[in-house]
Amino acid sequence: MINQRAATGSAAFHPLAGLRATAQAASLTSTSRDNEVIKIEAQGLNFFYGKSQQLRNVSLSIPQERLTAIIGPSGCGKSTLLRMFNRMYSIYPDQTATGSLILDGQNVLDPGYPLSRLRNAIGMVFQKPNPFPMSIYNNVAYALQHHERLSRQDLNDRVEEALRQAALWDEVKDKLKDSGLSLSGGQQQRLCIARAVALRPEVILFDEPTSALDPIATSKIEQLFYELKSQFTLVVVTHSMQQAARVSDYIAFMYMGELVEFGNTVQIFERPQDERTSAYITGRLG
Amino acid sequence: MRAVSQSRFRWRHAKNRIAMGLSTLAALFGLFWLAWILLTTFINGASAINFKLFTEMTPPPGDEGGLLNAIFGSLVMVGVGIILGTPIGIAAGTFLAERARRSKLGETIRFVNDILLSAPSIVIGLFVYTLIVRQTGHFSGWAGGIALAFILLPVVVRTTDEMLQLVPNSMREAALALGLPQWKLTTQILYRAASAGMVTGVLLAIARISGETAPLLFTALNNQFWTDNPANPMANIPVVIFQYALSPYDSWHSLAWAGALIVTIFVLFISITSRALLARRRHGND
Repeated sequence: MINQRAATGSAAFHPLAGLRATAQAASLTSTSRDNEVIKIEAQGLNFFYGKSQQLRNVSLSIPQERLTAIIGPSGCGKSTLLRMFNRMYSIYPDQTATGSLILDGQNVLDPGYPLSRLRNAIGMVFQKPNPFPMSIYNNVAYALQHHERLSRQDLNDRVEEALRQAALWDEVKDKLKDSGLSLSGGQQQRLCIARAVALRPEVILFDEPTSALDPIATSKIEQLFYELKSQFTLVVVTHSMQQAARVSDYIAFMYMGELVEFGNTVQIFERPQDERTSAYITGRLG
Repeated sequence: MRAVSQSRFRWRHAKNRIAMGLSTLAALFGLFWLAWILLTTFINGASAINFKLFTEMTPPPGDEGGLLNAIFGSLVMVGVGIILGTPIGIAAGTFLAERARRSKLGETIRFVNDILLSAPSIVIGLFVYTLIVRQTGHFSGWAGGIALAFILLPVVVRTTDEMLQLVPNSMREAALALGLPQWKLTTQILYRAASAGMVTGVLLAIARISGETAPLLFTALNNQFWTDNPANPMANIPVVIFQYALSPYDSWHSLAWAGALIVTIFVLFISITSRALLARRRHGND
């Protein structure tokens, strides 16, 4: 029914034109999140910068091998929420978190959960491309060698596999020894994706991964999302609603440190349950 | 109306020209003395440069000779200074940048380090004299090297601290998000990212200590003869220049000029190398 409405509307001029295609695809594969396997279960998350509380009682379930987008206006806590999944906040002494994040039956926020294991299981790609000051090959191989003992041949294979998964192999295969910093911005970001993918994580977090890139580089990364989510669970923070509409299966809408609404992308855009969600997606909020 | 604004315009131009003229004169005034000093050193030094400088020992009064023992002694003591001062300096600078960036302890150490940086070198000479020469009962190359290490140390601490602070935090987050431990992050990623600046700091510190006279006067003293054992008093170029320049003998004067030229060229070479390193880093980051 939703799809019919979409098809009869003037899709070409609609600001959410990209959503229509997604909506059709999504309605075929996943009708509701009840049918999904849950990868990460977040319960009662609170987050503090010093004494000021930035997240209030956030609970949500991240479905496996789907792309969940976290959207909301600036300062709503979407990046903060993302950085809880791999305990990135813990490198800053004044940042604390409570609640639980269950990954494969274990609470990763428990200080006893080893950070090295957590960050092997949950990779992260940042807003600005940040390759290491080493060769393209070593950018991918360096962390891999830390976590796994591999023969030279296996290591080469894993680096190639990761660069292929990041759709970068054909562009760099003849210059693997060149500095990672010699690549263009979009290539650098795909190198960062390859670096994360190489560890074969279960989940990959993206913190506004395309906001520093031009439209062509952005569309390459968005295409990549489609391929990556057949193997990985993706969580993407984005400030662009169009991007969320184009790439996501599920959307979490955050506002002022709270999770206002979580649902599949079609439902959030077509039938938002909360007044604030509908205000935000129609551009009246934020 | 127009006449008034015309005359104001002309007055502004005149003021501009006066200010520019005075600044240019001031710059030329400074450069004039520098050029004079360099020119005198080169003219007097060049006529004194010959093969014997590098094959013969410093001569007795009035005799001909070379600077071999002084050149060797200077290299040994500068070497001892580098070997002692650089690792401690880099370790301390790393602590300041990575562990004590905004803490009270860090600020205190930075303040004390700045005092050491601007301490008169003769004070450091006297300090090492009391610390080592008085205890061991004789002057020695070791004491000279230690005194030079004290002068090199604060320069290395400061540049290491500053260069590491310039590495963007996203680099640290990227490495930690891949599950890499702190020591690998510091030694293989941050040092690599900051290497050009850190090496420049060490080079500038070497340039500074290779011309120091006062601290060596109280520690290594001088030695008319060849010694390759730093436990003995050691000849070195700055003190030889000092003593020979004060002497009444023409042959000693020309050796002093030759020594001055050698030190000047050495320092010039190091400064240009460090400039080139920094320029290459800047270029590489574009």
